[in-house]
Amino acid sequence: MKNILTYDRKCINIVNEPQYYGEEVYLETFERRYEVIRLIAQTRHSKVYLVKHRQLEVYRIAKVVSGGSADCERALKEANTIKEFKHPGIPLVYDVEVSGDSICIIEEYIAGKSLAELIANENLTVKQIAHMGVCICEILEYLHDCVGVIHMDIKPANIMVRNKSAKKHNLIGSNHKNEYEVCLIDFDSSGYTGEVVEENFSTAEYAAPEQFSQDRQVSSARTDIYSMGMLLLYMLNGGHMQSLAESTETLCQLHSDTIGPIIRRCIRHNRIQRFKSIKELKQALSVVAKSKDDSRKQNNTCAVRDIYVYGTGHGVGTTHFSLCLAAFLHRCYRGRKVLYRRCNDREDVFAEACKGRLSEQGAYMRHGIYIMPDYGGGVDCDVSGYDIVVYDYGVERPDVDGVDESVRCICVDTCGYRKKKQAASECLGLTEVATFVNHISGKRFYELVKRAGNVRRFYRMPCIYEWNETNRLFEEAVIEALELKKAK
Amino acid sequence: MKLWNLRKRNKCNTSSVIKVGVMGSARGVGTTHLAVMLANYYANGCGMKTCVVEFNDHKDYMRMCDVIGGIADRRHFTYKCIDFHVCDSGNAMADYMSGEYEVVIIDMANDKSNTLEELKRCDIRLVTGATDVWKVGRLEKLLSELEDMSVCMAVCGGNTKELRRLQKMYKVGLLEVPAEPDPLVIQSETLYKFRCFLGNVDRQ
Repeated sequence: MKNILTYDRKCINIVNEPQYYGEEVYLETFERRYEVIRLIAQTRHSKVYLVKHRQLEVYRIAKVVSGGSADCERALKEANTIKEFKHPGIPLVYDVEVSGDSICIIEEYIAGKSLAELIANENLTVKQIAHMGVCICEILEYLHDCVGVIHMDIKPANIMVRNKSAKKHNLIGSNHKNEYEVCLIDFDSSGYTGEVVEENFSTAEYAAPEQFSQDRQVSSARTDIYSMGMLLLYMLNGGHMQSLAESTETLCQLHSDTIGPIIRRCIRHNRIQRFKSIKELKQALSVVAKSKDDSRKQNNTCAVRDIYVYGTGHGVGTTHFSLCLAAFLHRCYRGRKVLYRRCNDREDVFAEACKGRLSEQGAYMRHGIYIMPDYGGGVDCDVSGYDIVVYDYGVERPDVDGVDESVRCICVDTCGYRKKKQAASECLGLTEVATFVNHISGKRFYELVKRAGNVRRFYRMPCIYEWNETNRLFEEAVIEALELKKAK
Repeated sequence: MKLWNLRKRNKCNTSSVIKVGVMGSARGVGTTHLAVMLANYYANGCGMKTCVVEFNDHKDYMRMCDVIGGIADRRHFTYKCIDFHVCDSGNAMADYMSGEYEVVIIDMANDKSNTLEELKRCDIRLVTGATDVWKVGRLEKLLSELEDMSVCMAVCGGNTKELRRLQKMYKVGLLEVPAEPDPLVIQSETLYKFRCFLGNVDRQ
């Protein structure tokens, strides 16, 4: 009979195990009871397997830690901590096996996907995000108030979400099409309230500043509240954390009537300024979750519907700009369906679109937005089901005659200023044309603007490498160019 | 079974060209319609360089050429980003296979005497048919003849019970071809269905 690690080598074919793992653990007892289905996750010192109980035929999670005494102590501490918990949102611990410097913990298997996976594929509204926040707060409230434990590593990967019928509590948006149940996992960084934190194992992006302080800090509920704020921000931002710091204020301002102030209060550097308890945070989120409808959704119904983007030449960055714009509008208007539609060029975005998931409406969903390539008339697709449509016309100027006020037109140009001015003036009709100048230094841009004499309608396109990443300068420029503030 | 798995299994060489063979069990079961639909899916729906080759003597593509009008060469023409070729020899077929195309779709109609070898070389093998009582026998006969290779039934409409029986009996996959009035303009639902069935395309 082979142990789990041998099974792993032979069947899962993971051979790059470091030498210093030490003596292999022979988990015969476990092997008799459980059948290894697959390796779910792997870190330097631990591996998480999906296993099946041979007699009961139920799935379990086997967490094998084999990195040395310190890691095993942590794992054992985690098992001892969560064995006391009795909450539907926290997995149960069934068994622990210690052998030499390795330990194997058998936990309840929670089917579903992590919050990170959910956010990558679903377009949650602000109300749904608030619902999700309330559900996580309920689990944290139990931890903080009933058992006196601080999780200290709240992050999307540690939150499991599964679809469930509305019979149980912890359901997200029960009056919506998608209903979710939330579970909190991975308690290896957790500690008791008031306990002095010896070493910080939390994730940098979500950890509170005091967790990185050189002075030994006493764990408190406000540490988890900070992480909750970062988590809400992550959800609001469509699953992106890069360059989040600079766009935090923009996002909070955009959602100032709903979830923005809550996030801002959660992520205060001074922990005294944060919410006092998770209960207080839950109450604040409940107000947003129970609101009749997303106020933004109500307010922006008469705002921008169609945005026409065209470039003055090939290679000026029209497609990149349009994708950046669509991604920003998706972050800005959570829950609204934003479509990027390529016109007049069959080849352009197929490669990027095909990385996403095709929907039945013929558009590919990628990073929260829908991308519809130019099908060249071969596929009949309807764009009426989308709330905001960004049309990328490439180098062909769109016909804007007779369009209503919900349409905005944007021109993308590079240094060729004279051409840009001409193009912009030709397009002035019922809609005004905002011009974004790409590939230009700040100095050169201001020289051009000065010469133009009309500062308001010209914007400089900042350097954005990935179209789905956030950029405060770009967002501020777009808000002004599209007059999105009117929608508030 | 997903067709991309089928393709993976059937793949016998390292060529990056996707070869799709469509063979009919009888006349009028929608072989050419499906071949053109697939060509449209690959060419316009996936943005791949695609050609469809008429490897039979029905001369359907020449008639199509006459309807479109304004085309000088009736044996080789391009319409809606799809290259149409009328082919009557194996040598010409080899040129298409080793040429510039990412996808080559071979419309074999119901002439299996000359095309069986070509079908064996395909990555994706589709057999069109119908479950009407006067046609189902021919589908069954063809499936039994092709039992030594992995094929997939492609049927538009048809009796579900009968299709399940054939699937079970011959252990073949089933593509329920959506009804499209015009194979050159497919609906988004059809695009989605083909994508689910054929899997992600390997774009170069």
